[in-house]
Amino acid sequence: MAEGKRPGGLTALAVLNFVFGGLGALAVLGMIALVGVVAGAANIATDGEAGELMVEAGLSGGMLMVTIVLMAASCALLIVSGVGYLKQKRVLGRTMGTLYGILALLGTAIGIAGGQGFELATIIGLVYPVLTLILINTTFKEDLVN
Amino acid sequence: MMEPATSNASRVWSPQHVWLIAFYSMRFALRSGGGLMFLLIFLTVGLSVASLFITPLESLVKYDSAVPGGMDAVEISTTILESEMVADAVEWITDSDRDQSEYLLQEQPALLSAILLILLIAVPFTTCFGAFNQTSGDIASRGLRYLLLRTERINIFLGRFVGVVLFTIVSTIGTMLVIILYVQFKVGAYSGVDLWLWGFQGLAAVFFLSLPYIALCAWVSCLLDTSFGSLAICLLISGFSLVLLYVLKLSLISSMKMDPESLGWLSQTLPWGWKYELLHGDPMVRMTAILAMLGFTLAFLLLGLRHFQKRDL
Repeated sequence: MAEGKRPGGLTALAVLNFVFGGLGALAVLGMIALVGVVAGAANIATDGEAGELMVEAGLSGGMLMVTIVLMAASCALLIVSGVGYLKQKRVLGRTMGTLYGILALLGTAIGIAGGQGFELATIIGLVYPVLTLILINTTFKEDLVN
Repeated sequence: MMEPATSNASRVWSPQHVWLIAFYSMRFALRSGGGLMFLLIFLTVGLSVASLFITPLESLVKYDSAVPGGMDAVEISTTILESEMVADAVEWITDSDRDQSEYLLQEQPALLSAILLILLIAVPFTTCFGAFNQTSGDIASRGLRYLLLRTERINIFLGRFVGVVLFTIVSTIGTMLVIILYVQFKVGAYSGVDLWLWGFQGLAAVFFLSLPYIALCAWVSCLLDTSFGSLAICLLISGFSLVLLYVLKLSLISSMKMDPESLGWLSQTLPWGWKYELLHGDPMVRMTAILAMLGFTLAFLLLGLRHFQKRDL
């Protein structure tokens, strides 16, 4: 199977990884810019006002950093595993893809524990990581062995 | 040029062959890019439509729970979704009377009704993503020639159709299950029995509406040699037929001074025009809509089969 033709689904999964990875990278850059803006405003404002600004923006310092780091790692894993799917690699594809799925689930769990709440949007966000986890460990398992 | 008939294959329709082809078609749907995209699109669209109604409701419940004497999910759902304004909107969307809007909003769980009304608009288009490549890809790659050594064309055509139907059912059940479980346990605005019964009827409506579009895709798919072309044509037919119908209706009203009320039958020349009858309160109307959907399905299947029997594979 490994030497055979790559299934269309695996190619589609790789393309989706690049799309979601690219969009995620843009979101990470946007969040970093937002942090810069808030930090700039905090320099102008007094300590109390800075805290209020953060609260108004729905951000807490530690949680924001964790979110940015997790998102950046997810994007990197998405793009790396996308390459792995195309080359039908076991470590680069299956392992990295599984790591992405687990990281996304972990990120969601941390978000819920951090008070973001469990909403329908949370489930929508989980659709792709869960599908990835299931597909690369069942349907495409025998295709990712190079 | 027609393929020569094979001597070792049965010349007649064989349910066993159809089932075998359908089973493998469904089983390997996810291995093809189309099946994966359909599942992803259907899940995302279904859940996004549900989120469109549920998220604001949850926000209101959260906001109200912080206020002393605030309303709970049941009260908020009743106040908003069973209001006159929403009833008018439902009448306008479904092109029906007050009885039907009351049935959808007061006799059945209104939140699920609202989700289903919008979901039914999306179904014809999302279905195309799962059904566009029933035979076109294999016609292009000449892969069907291997199957033709073992079975007849009718079995391949029907087997692929049934395979897509089964895959659509599984995807629809998965999406509806998530929505119903969420509404039951997270929103908690309705009784479990009402919710599940109405959810089951909604599931049936989605299923029956998707049938003619899967059959239409089966027809288009065997007409074309490219799967992308098949997808584009299926989506164009699903969308442009509605635009053409609307333009025809407008021109009849303006040029021939016809009464808009008397042109209601025009929309029922397409499966689209029957979709909300699948959720009707009157069982007879519901049954007529189901028969209409089955009729459209049969017509598209026969047209497709006629072409598939003759074409060069």
